[in-house]
Amino acid sequence: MHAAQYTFATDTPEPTSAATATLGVLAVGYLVGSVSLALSNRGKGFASDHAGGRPCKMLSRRALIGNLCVTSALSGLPISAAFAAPSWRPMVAIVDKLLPGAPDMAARYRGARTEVQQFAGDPGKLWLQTIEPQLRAEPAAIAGYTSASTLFCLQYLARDYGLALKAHAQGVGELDAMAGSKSELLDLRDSTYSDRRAAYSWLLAPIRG
Amino acid sequence: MPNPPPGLSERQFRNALTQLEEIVGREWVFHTDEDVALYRDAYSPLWGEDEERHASAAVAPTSVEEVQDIVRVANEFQLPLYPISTGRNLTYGGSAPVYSGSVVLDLKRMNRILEVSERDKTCLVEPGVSYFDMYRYLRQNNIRLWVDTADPGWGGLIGNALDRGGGYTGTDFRDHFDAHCGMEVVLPTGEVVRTGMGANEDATTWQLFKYGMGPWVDGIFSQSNFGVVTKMGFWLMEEPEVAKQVSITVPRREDAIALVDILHSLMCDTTIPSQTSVSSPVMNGSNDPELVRLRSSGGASDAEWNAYAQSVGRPFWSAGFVLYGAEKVVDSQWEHIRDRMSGIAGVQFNETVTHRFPLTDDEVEAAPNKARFGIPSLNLFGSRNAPGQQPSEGHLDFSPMIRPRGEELIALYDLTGKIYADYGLTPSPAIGMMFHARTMICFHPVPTFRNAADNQRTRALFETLVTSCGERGWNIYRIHAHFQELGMSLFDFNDHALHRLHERLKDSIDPRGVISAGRYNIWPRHLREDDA
Repeated sequence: MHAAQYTFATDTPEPTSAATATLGVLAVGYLVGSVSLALSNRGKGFASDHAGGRPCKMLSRRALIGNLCVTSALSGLPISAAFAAPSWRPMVAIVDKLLPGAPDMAARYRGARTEVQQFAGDPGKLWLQTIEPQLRAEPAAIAGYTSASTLFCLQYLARDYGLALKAHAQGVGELDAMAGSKSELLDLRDSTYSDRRAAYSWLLAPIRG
Repeated sequence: MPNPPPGLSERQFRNALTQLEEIVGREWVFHTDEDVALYRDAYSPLWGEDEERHASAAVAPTSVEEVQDIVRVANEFQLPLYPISTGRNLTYGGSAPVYSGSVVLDLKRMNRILEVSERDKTCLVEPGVSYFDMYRYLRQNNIRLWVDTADPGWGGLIGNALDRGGGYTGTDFRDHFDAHCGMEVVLPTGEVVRTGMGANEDATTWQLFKYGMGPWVDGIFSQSNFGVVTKMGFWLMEEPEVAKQVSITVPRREDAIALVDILHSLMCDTTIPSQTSVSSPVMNGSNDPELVRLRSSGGASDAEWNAYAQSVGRPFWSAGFVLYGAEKVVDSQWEHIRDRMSGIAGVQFNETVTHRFPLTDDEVEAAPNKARFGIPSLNLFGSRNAPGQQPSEGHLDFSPMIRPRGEELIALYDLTGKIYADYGLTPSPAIGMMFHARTMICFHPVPTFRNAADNQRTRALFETLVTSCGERGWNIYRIHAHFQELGMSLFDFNDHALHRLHERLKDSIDPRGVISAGRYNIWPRHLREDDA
């Protein structure tokens, strides 16, 4: 019954041959496309409420559920094509500068004309001051290069704004690796993630784009 | 689509969901498998096993009236509801219902900060308001009040208070239930009540005076299932001129006795205003073979421990707390504390940091131990990022409470260290936290996994910890949903008279048994074994 309620992405991404491209190329791919998922949410899940004298978020849980539905739909696509979806274009890339490879990753994002916000260990301030206010205004993708623990945390926070994990890979992620990634909540206890010092590239994105 | 709740046919369930959709809109009723998976307990000790608790659906209202209507539908169908606020208290069960098959009543959309009074130092909020939300509101509006935050700060004020969570700042604020003042509750029948002064519509003191007149009933809505709390008032802490974070170390194991006695005294006379933690840099060190042997022994002598402490060059105990107030007062308090402690041979005093408020954004970002200064953070997760640190796994909290006595702290960790070792696990770090001046709560993380074999061991370990500590009078103050029956079984005076009272209340207030069946082992009549 949910599918009937949603207008999923109609701008099917163009498949490309960039299956072995790096995240830098991936990030360029974010910039392709024009239809925003966020637009489809306007007037549905997100609204303003001035009770108590402040704008109040209205959570789009429906968008959240939509995420999960479309994840399945995209699973058969070449990941490079999937990343070209406009709703997967990140509004920001967050990079934990304590992790090895962080400068390289930040440079890759910047090279792809993606705003980079760095933090050291605790993403709380970034969430509070940058990410959540933007998500309240309009849901958009977030890219990151963090520990698995930080990703776990952000998954929980971002899912209330209709974002779900679309891709992830250990280290400076290759598209191929991310193509095989799971789209559900990352299981920190999965042996894949047993090295908590390791860095992960990832993308949290709305699905209805 | 998940299975219907126990006792309901698929047709009845669909009819109930249709009515819920009419109340909140189809957008806000979730009942596919993918929907309900979001409400799983991420740290479940039963992950993937038949006994794992699952929701059958979720419904997300945005107003008190919608909550009332939902509760009425629940009564009509005897549909079990499980209210959550933010549902992120992962170590105690998260958003998964106690009674599998319940419909989660997800209150995150009710997230309005209804009032903040800087003059009265109070606020009134809905259940979906998180510590992050409140902090941001205070900061953006330049209101010089603090909200005492749980750690991590992604939880909600109401949910954490109702579960009797604790924080770090001043005496009146860090016991989150004690810091509340007035609530609004949708009873299981759909009727709305306001407690305390809120029962008088003209009262100007709903968030200022707790009791109102007549019996004070707020307590029955905490760790319970007697209603859906839709508003709560809280007291907020006035931002101090300065906050001085300090620590005190003592060299020997037996020094815990004097150290804790004096801390207890200084907290009771309000010289120390903050939560105070006593941890062991020796016992919490890296696991070399001698440390493993000592911790697993179940009772190594002071002499053995002290020799080991000397060999690793660390003080045995470290106490940490914060002094808040005017700088001259804080300096005097610190001087007095040092005087009181000076009789302990080898004691050392350390001033970690002194903050002057308000903090700049950069100072906020740089502040360690943010929760001690009313700043919510995700540091408990983020701290795992530092290279070289070994973060913990997903875990449950086993949190026994002891008297504030050093000898009990030692005995507790002797006992639990051996229990962990017997189950083949590294003993818990040793830390006693004085959220309350008159008790110590000693958190023990118990790891959870996503395979049944390891989780079976986890459950056995947890149960052994609960019963072994219970036998010594060290009961837990709060417990994961799966173990609530076990936890409540320890409160057995007069053949569990308290439990029978809880059940009588349940039968009276919630005759159809629709709210949070089984929470803290309070089951409605139709689900109780003795009435089955």
